[in-house]
Amino acid sequence: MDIKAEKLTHIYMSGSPFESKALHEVDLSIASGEYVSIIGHTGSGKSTLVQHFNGLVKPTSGSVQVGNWTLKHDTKQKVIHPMRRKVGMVFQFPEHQLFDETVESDVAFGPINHGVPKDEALKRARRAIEQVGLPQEVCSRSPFDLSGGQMRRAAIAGVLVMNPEVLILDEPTAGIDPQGQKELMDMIEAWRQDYEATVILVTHDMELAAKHSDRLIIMSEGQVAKSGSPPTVFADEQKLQSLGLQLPESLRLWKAVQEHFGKEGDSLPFGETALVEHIDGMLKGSTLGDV
Amino acid sequence: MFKNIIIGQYIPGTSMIHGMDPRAKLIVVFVFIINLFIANQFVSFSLLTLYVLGAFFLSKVPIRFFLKGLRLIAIIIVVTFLLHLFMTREGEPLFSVGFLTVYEGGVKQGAMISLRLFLLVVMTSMLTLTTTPIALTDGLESLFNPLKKFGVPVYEFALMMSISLRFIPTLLMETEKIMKAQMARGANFLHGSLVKRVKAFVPVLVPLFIQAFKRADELATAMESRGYQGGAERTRFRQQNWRGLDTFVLLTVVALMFIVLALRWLS
Repeated sequence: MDIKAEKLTHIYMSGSPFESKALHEVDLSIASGEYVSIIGHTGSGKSTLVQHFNGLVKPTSGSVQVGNWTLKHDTKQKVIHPMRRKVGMVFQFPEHQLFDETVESDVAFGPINHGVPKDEALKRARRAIEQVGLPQEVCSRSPFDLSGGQMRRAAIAGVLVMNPEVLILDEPTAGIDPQGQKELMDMIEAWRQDYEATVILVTHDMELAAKHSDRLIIMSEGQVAKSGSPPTVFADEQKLQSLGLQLPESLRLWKAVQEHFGKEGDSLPFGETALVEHIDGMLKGSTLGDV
Repeated sequence: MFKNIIIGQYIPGTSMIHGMDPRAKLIVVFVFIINLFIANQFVSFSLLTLYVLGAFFLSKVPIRFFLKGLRLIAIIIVVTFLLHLFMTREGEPLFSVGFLTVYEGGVKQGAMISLRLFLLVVMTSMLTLTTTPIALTDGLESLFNPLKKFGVPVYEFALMMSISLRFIPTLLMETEKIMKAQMARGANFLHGSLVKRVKAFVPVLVPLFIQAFKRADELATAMESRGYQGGAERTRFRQQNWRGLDTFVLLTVVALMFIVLALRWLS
């Protein structure tokens, strides 16, 4: 499902003294199967933008096209409801939405809302619980007995269970340890490859964004400030700095190392492993950056 | 979702009314409400209405925003008016619709009560719209301070009040967030039978309560770990200062009270 925003503007509390403009005439498109990261500071409008993609907020003006659905300021709730089945949204701290008595019935909440019979929904729930790497024995436990990391997985299972064609993740790794972050991102990567889904990652972690996505969209003050593949975006370091963003750590170190040894190269390492390989390759004198 | 409720909301501003001491505002509103219930003459009501209008324009609250927020109250006022119109059987009968007869007394009483209600709501919203909840609590605390001598735990009450006020926006934000999360999973709060819609709120209320308890616990721990103790003599970060203006406004409302009282006696 392709996503396309045209002149998308969103104003919160329009017409009151608390009026604030979150998005200003945003034009962008995301192709089916793309892995896109939306980066920006708090208040840059990134969360508001993605909430349009499954109709949680409606545009003040302009439109959003998701597959065959078009969302405008006067789109009816009935039209939006089926759209939400195709576009899954994992909010920040998704474990805060767990409510049911058992993990499996909580995960089955989505399919049941969309009219899947209960038995079938529970079956799908158990499959989703397995997909996120939780042992089957947690199915019948209370979600509130799980550990923090497990709760997050269970909550993500509650979104994956609907087999969305587009998955939106809002800061999925916030508040979990590095090991857990890596496992979570790997799990999502595996899921994406199985289902050939579009993934939209909202984050302010440059490293995470650069490592996983095909394209970066940088938001600033309600507008798209820059968009492109990670290497093209990071090539323009001055622009990034003017937006108050820094290069990913691995890239900064790599540049410093290159400078120190007076070498140059086009290939950029994202993440620790790639960085180690790059430096290793360079010091051993092999073809530079060609790892 | 909660856009059209202005009760208890605060609008930042720099107007004369914003700058008044919260204690003065509290007393003025209190005296004004007494005036409303003493008043029984057309002239008194006109004066009181003018007073409220004056306060409204001095506060510089945007009028459209204010009227939008009054919608719910307007329904209550209209219903009250209609009830009095049809239920009071005093004075000359004016006209009748079917089995209902409207009497002169009904019109008078209806108009009086709804105007009272209306002025009451506008005046109290003037207070809350121009005073931060914290300033309001501080004001109440210092007004009730003398009660400490009789063993009333004024300080604890004030603390409870400021904590609850402080967390209303947080809870509203949280509710909206959880509702969105459940809506993203296909929950529907707007359609279906009443029972269905009430049931749809369970997935919102459970997480909301859990978060609230967790937060309360964290707050208690945070206060405890900093050695908090109720009633310890503390200085204030926000000083209240009573100025000439406050005395002046207080005098106007007291003068109004004398006029309204006099009009009542003379009639």
